[in-house]
Amino acid sequence: MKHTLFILCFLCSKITFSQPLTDYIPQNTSYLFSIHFGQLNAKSNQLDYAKYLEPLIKGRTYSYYQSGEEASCEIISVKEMIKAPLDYAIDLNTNVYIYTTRVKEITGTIYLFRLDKPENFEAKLNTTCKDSRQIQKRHVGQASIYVTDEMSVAINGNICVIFIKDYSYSYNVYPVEESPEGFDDSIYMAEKAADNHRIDSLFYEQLNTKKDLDYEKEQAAFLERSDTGILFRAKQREDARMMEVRTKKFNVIFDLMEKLILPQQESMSGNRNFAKILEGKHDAFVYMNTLANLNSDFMNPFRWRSYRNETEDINRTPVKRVLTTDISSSYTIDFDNGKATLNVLSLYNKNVYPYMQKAYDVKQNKDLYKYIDAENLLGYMSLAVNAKELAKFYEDFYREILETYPKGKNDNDIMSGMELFYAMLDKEMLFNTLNGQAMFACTGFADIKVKYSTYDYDDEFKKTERIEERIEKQPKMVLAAAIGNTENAKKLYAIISRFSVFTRLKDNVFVFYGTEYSPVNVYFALTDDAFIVTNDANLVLNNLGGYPKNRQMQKPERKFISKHNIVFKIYGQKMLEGIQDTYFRNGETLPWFTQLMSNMGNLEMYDNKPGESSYQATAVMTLKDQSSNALYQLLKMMSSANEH
Amino acid sequence: MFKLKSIILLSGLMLLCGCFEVIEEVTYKDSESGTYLMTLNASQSKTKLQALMNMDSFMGTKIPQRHDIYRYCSLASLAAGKIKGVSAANYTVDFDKFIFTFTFNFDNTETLNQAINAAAQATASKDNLPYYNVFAFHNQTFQRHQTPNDSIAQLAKDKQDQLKLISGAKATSIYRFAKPVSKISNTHAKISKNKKAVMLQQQITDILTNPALFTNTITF
Repeated sequence: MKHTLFILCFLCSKITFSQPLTDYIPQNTSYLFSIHFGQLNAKSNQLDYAKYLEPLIKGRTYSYYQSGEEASCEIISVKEMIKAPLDYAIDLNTNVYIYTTRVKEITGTIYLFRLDKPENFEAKLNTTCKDSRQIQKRHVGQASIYVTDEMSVAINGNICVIFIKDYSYSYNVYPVEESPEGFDDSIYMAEKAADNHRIDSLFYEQLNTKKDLDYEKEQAAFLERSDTGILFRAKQREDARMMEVRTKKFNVIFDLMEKLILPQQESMSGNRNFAKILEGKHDAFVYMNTLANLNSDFMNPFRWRSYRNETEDINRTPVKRVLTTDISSSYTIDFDNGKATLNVLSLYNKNVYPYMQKAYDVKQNKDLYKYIDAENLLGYMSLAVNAKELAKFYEDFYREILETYPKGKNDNDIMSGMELFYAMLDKEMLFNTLNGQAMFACTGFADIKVKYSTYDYDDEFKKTERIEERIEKQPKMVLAAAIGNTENAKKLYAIISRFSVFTRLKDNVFVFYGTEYSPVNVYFALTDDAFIVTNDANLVLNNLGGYPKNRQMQKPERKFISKHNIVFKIYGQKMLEGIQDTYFRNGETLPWFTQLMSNMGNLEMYDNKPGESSYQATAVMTLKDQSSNALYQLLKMMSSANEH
Repeated sequence: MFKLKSIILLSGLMLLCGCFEVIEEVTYKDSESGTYLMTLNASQSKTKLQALMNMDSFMGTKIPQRHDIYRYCSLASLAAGKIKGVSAANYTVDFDKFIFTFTFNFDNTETLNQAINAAAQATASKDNLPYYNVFAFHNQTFQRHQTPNDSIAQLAKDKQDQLKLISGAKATSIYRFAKPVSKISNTHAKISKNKKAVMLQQQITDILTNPALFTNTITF
């Protein structure tokens, strides 16, 4: 086995210079984060972006590990390395991958990257830790592997793997077998008994020869004659035993590192979904292997049975997966001149597509546009899905997930109970009263009167409280949701309107009045085509039939909305101007806010119709300056905010 | 005024809310004992405060939550109440109006100073705040001293941008005595009709840049 591994390592070390890094990532990886330092360095124009990555970086967890002379040794500071990858000789032209792994009880985070100059990187490793209780080194083929309790580094040619192990009580706590008197292994006990016997004999001999003996003094003197070598040898044996335990544990990590530093038999390179993301050459991305996550024990709601050691009746019969295979999702981010783009891509198998097609084969309901006053529109969100079809998909999807988990015989009853409950639900009422077409919009700011307390002082300066009124601006919000089943909508509306917290204003309008000091009135209205929730009294009291055409959204905007199922848009400039008017007095503002106003453009998010294997949504943040990179501009803005 | 620095520094909320009023009232029943009452009225900014308090922090400034404010008030009240000669230490918190009060009775001016310092120390983020006498009452003179210019001026310098945001905030002091007042040193202060009370109103931003504006020497 070792020989085969050695040959494999040798061969691999020769080809590491050309082999893609993705060959080294196991295909069952659940989460993976990738970052391209070369691209980001060029786009940031030397501004420090690494500090914003810190929350993502797993560093040492000192408090968990041992202290004193056997304290865990930090081979390399990952945080420092990520802050200055060039100093650590990391090849900036390839991605750095960060992913999690779990092998039996060992879990941890792995950093995988290519080195530009491996010897320079190795020189950066901490050389002060030499005690074999802290650090052990092993060569496997061309690979060098350093292992400590919490961190391991493996270098094979120009490939480097750093493994930060999660703390695990069962792994990290070393068994201590020490009695209050000292060591109590059998050799120690036997040697100690023999030594005691020897001292006793000498003492009694002494007792027999001297008559006027100071008993206690003589006894103490004899005890000092005990063999100190016994304790020394016991300590040596204990150290050796601890070393053996430690080496055994280190060997587990060595075995893991040997596997990680070699190309995997089933690697990410063979993953169709992952390959698709790599093609995009993104600045950074997160990949989530949904299937691997679902297969994890932690996701299994029936796992309590195994905690109670009731494993004998667990049903592990494989269930055929129809909807839950080959599924993943990814989040990519790219910075270009004047814009930053965030992309969410969900990939699924061909069996999912018919569901998605039915659920998303809907356009926005044109009747909803009339309820949106677009004269001072600050932003909106539009959703158009077939709620019934989407619910059907989620029902089948989650049923399949639950069915595939290992579970006890009785757990099948839980499944049956859930299905029975779901069968009893009125799906028409749940998913078709409001049918999945809705628009939410912020339509400007309205002046509202707000009461506040102030004081009057009489001639003797005694104060009395006085209530004053002032005008404040409040954002106008409206949610308009299309009605699928009118009868059900009327029935529900009538029930809800009878609650005592509401006041009926018209047959089809009721209101929740805010308190004296929180003057937000929320209106609820039901029309023939929509259910409306808003704080805009003007809409429900004067324009419930709809705003005039010239105040509604214009054709290009409507066209954009009807092309997509989900659209989200914020008119950045208008929104910031509104915030400035509302929250900053007399035009006074903060420098960072001024900078934000002079830089920010619009924020827009939209999806594309589901394809046969994927569904995608894109969010784009536009900046006013289209000539320089968005990352540089954003970093400049953030550093300005930090300065203030 | 009950350590203005504590209010400004401890409550990031105030810097973000714009308009508020701090009223410091000292009412002497006789030549020694009396009542101290501090009122923080942020009622004008309650809409903003309500919105801000839904967040943990805003642009790096930690936003105290309701339980934090209750804790500060309770700590101040407990600390003041422990001082010998202080009685009826109490506080009120009204989140509908955003008005908060802190009050106690004292048996002499030294006790009043001790209670104010104890309350400030209990709510301060750093240990060992320097002790200083806010008030002095000797013979025929009552003095409202200047807040030590250690960090107030520095705070004003460092937070120039934020100070603009509280340009509407004001501080009021009202001192009531058992005997009539004959002279006051602060030209901005007013004497009541019955001559037994003195009131001074200033913009908080002005006090922050020039703490001497809130001082007063009252002669009887």
